[in-house]
Amino acid sequence: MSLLEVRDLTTSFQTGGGEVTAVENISFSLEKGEILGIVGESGSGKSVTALAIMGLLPRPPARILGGSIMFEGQDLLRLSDRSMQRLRGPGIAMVFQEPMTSLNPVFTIGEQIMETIGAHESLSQKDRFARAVEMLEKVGIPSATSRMTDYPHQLSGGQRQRVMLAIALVCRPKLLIADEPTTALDVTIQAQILSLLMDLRDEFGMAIMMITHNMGVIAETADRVLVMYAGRTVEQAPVGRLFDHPLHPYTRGLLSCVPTLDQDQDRLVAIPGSLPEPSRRPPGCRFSARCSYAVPACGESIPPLAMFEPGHAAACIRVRDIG
Amino acid sequence: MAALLEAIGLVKHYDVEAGGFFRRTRTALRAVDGVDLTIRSGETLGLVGESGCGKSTLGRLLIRLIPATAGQVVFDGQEITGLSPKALRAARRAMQIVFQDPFGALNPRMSVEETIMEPLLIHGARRSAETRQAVTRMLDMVGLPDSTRYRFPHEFSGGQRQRIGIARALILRPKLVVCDEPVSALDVSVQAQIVNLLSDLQGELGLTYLFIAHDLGVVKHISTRVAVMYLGKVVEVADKRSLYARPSHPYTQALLASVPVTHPSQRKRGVGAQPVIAGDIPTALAPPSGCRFHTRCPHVMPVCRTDEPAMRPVGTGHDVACHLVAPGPPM
Repeated sequence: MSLLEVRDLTTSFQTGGGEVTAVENISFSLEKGEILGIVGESGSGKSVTALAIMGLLPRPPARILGGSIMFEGQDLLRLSDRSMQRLRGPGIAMVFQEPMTSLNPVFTIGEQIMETIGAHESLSQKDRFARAVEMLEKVGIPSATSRMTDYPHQLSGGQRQRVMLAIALVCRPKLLIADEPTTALDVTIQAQILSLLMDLRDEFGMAIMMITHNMGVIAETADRVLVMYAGRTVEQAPVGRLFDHPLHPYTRGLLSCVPTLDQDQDRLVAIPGSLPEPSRRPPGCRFSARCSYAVPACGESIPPLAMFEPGHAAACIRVRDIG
Repeated sequence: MAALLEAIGLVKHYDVEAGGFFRRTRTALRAVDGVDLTIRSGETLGLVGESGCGKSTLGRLLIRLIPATAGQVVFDGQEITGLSPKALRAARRAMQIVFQDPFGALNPRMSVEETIMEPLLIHGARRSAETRQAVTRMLDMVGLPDSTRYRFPHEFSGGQRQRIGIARALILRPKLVVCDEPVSALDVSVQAQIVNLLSDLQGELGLTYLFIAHDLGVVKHISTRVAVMYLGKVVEVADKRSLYARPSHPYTQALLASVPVTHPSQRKRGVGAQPVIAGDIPTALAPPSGCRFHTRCPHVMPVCRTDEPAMRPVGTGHDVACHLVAPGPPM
C-alpha cells in the first residue's frame, strides 16, 4: 500500500463567472521516504491539489467533485474535521511559500512550535520546550534556546522558513507537503533549505511532495515528477527519465526555455502565448493553443494520460509523431 | 567601447530609526556604499546579488530616480547628480526604467495608448495623429496587436503587461534602459519571450541595458559584462565569460555553486556535498568591518576582518575586491 494515493481528484471553484474546475482527474501515489516533484506554473492546480490533501480548501467557494485521497488506507475526503485535524501534524504537514505571512506576528517562535506539540501530544511544558529547542537546532537555527523568545519579525526570511519547517516537522509527519518552499528566498539560502530538506528526509524517512515551478529544484531533489498544466497532469515520470526523454511538448518547452549556467545559446526557445485563464481554456488539449506540434485533432478531445514506458506517462496524442 | 555612464564613489545612505521602543536611535542604512561602475555604450551590464544587497537602489541612483548621498554619475558626458530639475528632465529622455512588477507599475485607470503615450506628453509633445502613430509603432515593436490600445491593464496577462511597460520605456528612444528584475515576476514559460524581446529591441534600437536580476542563468544569457554586489559594494566585475568561467571572489563562487543543478545526474549529495555558504546576508545598518563578506567567507584571513580590500584586476577587464587574489598572480 502506498503512503498516499490520489485517484481522479477533481475540484472546482465558484467564481463570479460561474463554476470553473481547478484540477481535473489528478492521480498519483507517493511511497514512504519518496520525494515527488510537482511542477507547474500559476493556475496549473498544484497548490489546490496540496490544499485538498491537507483538507484546507475553503468550501465554499471550492468543491470536490470527485475522486479519492487515500492516506495510509483511509480516504481523507471522508474524514471528519476533527479526525483531519488530528492527522495534520503527525500524519501530514505543510510548509508554504510565504514564511512572512505563515507565522503569527504576535507570538514568539517558541510559543508557536510548542503550541503545535501541545495540540497533538500531552507533554509537560518543560518537555515541550526541550522538544522545540531540539527541533530548532535540527533545522539549523543557531543558539536555538535564546531564539525561542524571538518574534517572527526579528528573523530573516531564511530563518523564518527554517522555523516554519520546525513547526511542520516537530510532530514527525509521514508526509511533508512543501509548496514553493524556496521561491521567496535567495539562491544561497535556497541551497541551504533544499539541502536541509534532503537531510531531514533521510533522517526521518518522511515522504515529501515538492511543489515548484523551478526545474532546478526538481533536478536537485525529486525522485519522481508530475508535470501539471491548466489543471491536468500532462506528464509523469521518474526524474532522470523526465530530464533525458521528456515526452510532452510542454515539458520539453519548460526544460528548454530557462537559460542555465552550462549552456550558451543566442536565443532562448520561448513558449508562445501565456497560460489560459480557467474560464477561457481551449477545448481539447489545453496546451494546444501554445503548442508548435498541434494538429486539428488536438483541439477535439482531451488527450488521455497514456503510459509510454514503465512509470512514464504523457497526455499527448502526438508523442509518437514528434519523436 | 566608449563609456555611456560612469559612476564614481556613489553612496546612498537612508536615515532610519533603530533600537527598541524606548532607546530609539537614528542610524544610517548603507544601501549603496561607495560604488564605481562603468556602463559601456551598447552593452548589457548584468547586476546580480542577494536581496538587500543594494542592486535596485544602485539602478535607481544611476538614472537619478533617487538623489545620491555622495558621489558622481556622468551620463553621456554630463554630470547628472547636480543637475537642476529642468536640466534633469531633459536628460531623462535618454534614461528609462522597466520595473519588476508588471501589476504595480501600470496605472489601472489609463488605457494602453495613454500609458505608452504619456512619456511623450510629459516631454512636450501634443496629443496628435503623430503621437498616436508613435504608439502604433511601439505596440508593433513589442509584439502587441494594435487592437489592444484602448484596453486597460487588468485585461492583460503578466507577460503582456511587461510588454506595455517596455513600450512605455522605449517610446522616448532612450540610450540607457535600467531593467530591474523585468522577468522575475513572470511565469517561467513567459520569461523567455520577454528576454528575447529585450534582446531584439537592443539590436534594433542600439540600446544599452543595466539588467538587474537575481537569476544567474538569465543574467548569463543576456549580459555582456556582469557586476556582483554584496552589501552595498560591487565585489567583482568581469566580462560574462570570464566571470562565469573563473569567478574570483568567494562570494561569486558561492552564488554560482548555489544555483540548482540542471540535470538530476549532477546532484552532489552526502560526502563532498556542494559548498553551500552558511548564514544570511548581514544587515546594512551595521555592515561587518573590513571585507563585508568575511562573516560568511570560507577563506577568511585576519586581514579580512580589519582592512577593506580594494578593486584590483585579476585578468583583462576582470576586477575583484578580495585579499586572496592580490598581490601576486591570479589564482
